[in-house]
Amino acid sequence: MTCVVCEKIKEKKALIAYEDDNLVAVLPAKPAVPGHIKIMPKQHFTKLEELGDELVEELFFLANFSSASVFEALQAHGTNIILNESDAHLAVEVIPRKENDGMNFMWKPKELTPEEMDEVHNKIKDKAFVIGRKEEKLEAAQLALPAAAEGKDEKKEEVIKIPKEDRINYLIKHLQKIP
Amino acid sequence: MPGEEEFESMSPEEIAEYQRKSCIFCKIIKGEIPSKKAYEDDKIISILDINPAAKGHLLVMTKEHYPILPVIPIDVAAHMFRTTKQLVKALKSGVVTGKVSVFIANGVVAGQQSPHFLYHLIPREDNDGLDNFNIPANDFSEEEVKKHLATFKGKIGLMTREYKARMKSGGGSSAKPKEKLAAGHKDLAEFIDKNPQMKEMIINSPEAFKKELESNTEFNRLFGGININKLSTALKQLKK
Repeated sequence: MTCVVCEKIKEKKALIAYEDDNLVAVLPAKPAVPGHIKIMPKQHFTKLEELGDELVEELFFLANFSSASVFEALQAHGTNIILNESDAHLAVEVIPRKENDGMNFMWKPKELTPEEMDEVHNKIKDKAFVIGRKEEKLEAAQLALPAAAEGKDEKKEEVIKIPKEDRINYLIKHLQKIP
Repeated sequence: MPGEEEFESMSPEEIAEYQRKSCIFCKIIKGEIPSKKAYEDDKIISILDINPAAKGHLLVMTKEHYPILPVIPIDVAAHMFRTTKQLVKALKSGVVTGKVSVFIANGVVAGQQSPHFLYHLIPREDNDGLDNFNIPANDFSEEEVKKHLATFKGKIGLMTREYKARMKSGGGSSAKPKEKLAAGHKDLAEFIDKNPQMKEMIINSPEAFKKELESNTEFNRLFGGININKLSTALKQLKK
């Protein structure tokens, strides 16, 4: 079973607001509201973690820029950026919002017991903190470096300084030369 | 809390200052209000939402107070987006789910409930009742749909070109010379990591390494201005 989105991308059968080698932003034929922009990786991915780090960054920045342009062009009061993962081709949707536009994406908060919260907290933080540790290594190595660099910076500044009075005089002299 | 009249007489800067001082999330970040942290580094933090849509609902935000996404400095935003991918992975692994929703609200009308910009990572399941996240598909005429296409193309194209140009030159426009130096150090740190033998030499024989530097102009450029002894100590400590 082929992906409808992949085919549409290949045939360029869509209103394209932006396109590069890896990403495409289109105006869906059946939008939530005019100005709705759908951003997708050209390659068939269904889950965010399947994309490379750089592509994830570009994807969100594209969503951010789409949001800004939609906000301005439509004079919207706000925007939503929503990614709902599913079995379909991954898509980030940018939707302009206005007061009383008939849309509401808000959820009903659940009441979790303190035990349930603790349980979930423990499950997630162990996984997530591992990401941080890799970066800690690099930062500690850098701690040894900036101290020496500071000395270098001061030297550079002394060389570049031009006394203010001289600068102003030069400008005035230059003006006086003009007939 | 200032009354309406007082707000009206405040300048935008004063209002921003007030927001910062009374911002609940700034207080959480400082540790003045308790929270359940899922992840933290020098730029961003992720905590459990106390009014979750589902178990494991995470909030992701910058440590620095920004009211909306477009004003977040490019390097901070880039880091936040990249880390989001890892957080989604961690969330899926921790809560054992196959899919998540990422929800961002810019503006009160869109559902932004906090003056501190943040977004939501929500674990999803079939029949979880979270149909509120479904995006409607409505009928509009082709003209209505296409109306602003040219404007979007122009703006998005421009912003993307600026972004790509900035990222190529190594970071946001606010990068001062000192920060640029630090970027060089990050490259250096990676370089050291990739060269275990050189690393060993720095750790065990810093004097010998210094001699090497004198004769090797390439390395001298890389390590210029760096205190090798301090570097050696730092690397030694990391090994433990």
